[in-house]
Amino acid sequence: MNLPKTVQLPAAEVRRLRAALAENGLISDDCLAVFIGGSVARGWQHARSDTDLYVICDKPWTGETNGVNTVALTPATVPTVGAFVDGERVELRYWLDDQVDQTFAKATWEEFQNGDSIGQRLSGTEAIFLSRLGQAIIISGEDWMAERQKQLVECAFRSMWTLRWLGEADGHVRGALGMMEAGDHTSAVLSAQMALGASVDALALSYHEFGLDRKWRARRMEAIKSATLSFDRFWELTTMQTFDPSRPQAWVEDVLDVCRQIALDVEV
Amino acid sequence: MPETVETGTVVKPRADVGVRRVAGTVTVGWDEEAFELSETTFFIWRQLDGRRAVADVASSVANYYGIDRSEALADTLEVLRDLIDLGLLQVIASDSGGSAGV
Repeated sequence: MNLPKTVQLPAAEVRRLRAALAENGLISDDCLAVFIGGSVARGWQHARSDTDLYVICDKPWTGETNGVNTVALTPATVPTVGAFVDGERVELRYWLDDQVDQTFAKATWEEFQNGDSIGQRLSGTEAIFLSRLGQAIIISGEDWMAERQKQLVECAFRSMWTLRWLGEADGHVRGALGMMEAGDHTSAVLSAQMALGASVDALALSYHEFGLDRKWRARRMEAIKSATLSFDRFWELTTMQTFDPSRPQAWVEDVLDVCRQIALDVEV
Repeated sequence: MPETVETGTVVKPRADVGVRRVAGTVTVGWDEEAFELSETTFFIWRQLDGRRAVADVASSVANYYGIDRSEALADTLEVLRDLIDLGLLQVIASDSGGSAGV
């Protein structure tokens, strides 16, 4: 299965966390699955990071919650809890199995081929859920997770979001070209930056790096080791090391060339 | 005036032309109008880096497909002229003196 490597927690650590969550009334025995997503699952966390936990149930969570994520599903909310477990800050999200089904139903190849090729029906929260499902530390429910991760790899989600990023990049490329033609070089530089970012996100997804959070873009580029755009070149452009304020067009053209190369290499 | 393409001409895709490779099909163009490229045409498209002359591109075609160089040049010129007619390419230099000796 083409999923990025996640951190492997020792079995004893998984048991300890599962027990601590249960002791705090944050999970119950009838949960279908519990997994850690986000930066912790990739080993990219820092001392101030929350641990993002996803709890999947087949009935609505009845324990105490203190927030919600909104989704374009039925029901339209995912209850959340922010808490401390063993001194660590955790953020739990309680998804219904049926909400997961509904989310996947928006990311089928039929949807891709029949009008929603860029996954517009998927809300941001739903897309993040799918991306984190692909990069998870499993706390419980191995069978459920295996089935859903297989479904993730086989569905159109990755293709939809790759096309979405490529389309976004194209828009910024056209914007940058128009701004340069109009002599608005400062706006062209910002558009080129955005084109690069969207292109790089498409490139990372083409390597099955499912993460969507832009703050981890550099980490994803390090992870994919792309022949199309090396990390060093990506970082040189992102940090504008070659930008000459007296010749902004040269930098913009350089960036747009990289965006074009990425579009040539990325297969959806 | 129509652009002419000869062995020494250097062309490259227009900067505003997007490329998509979806399920083995390559399309190029814009939101409102897109064209599907054959495998050979996409191979040629990939060679158009704004530095290599038509003769050099044709040389790559000959090597990659194992065909006669004059045949490769004729095919390459035909493809590039079609792409220019569709407004997808721009001429960077009219005669750079392509070095491949096709």
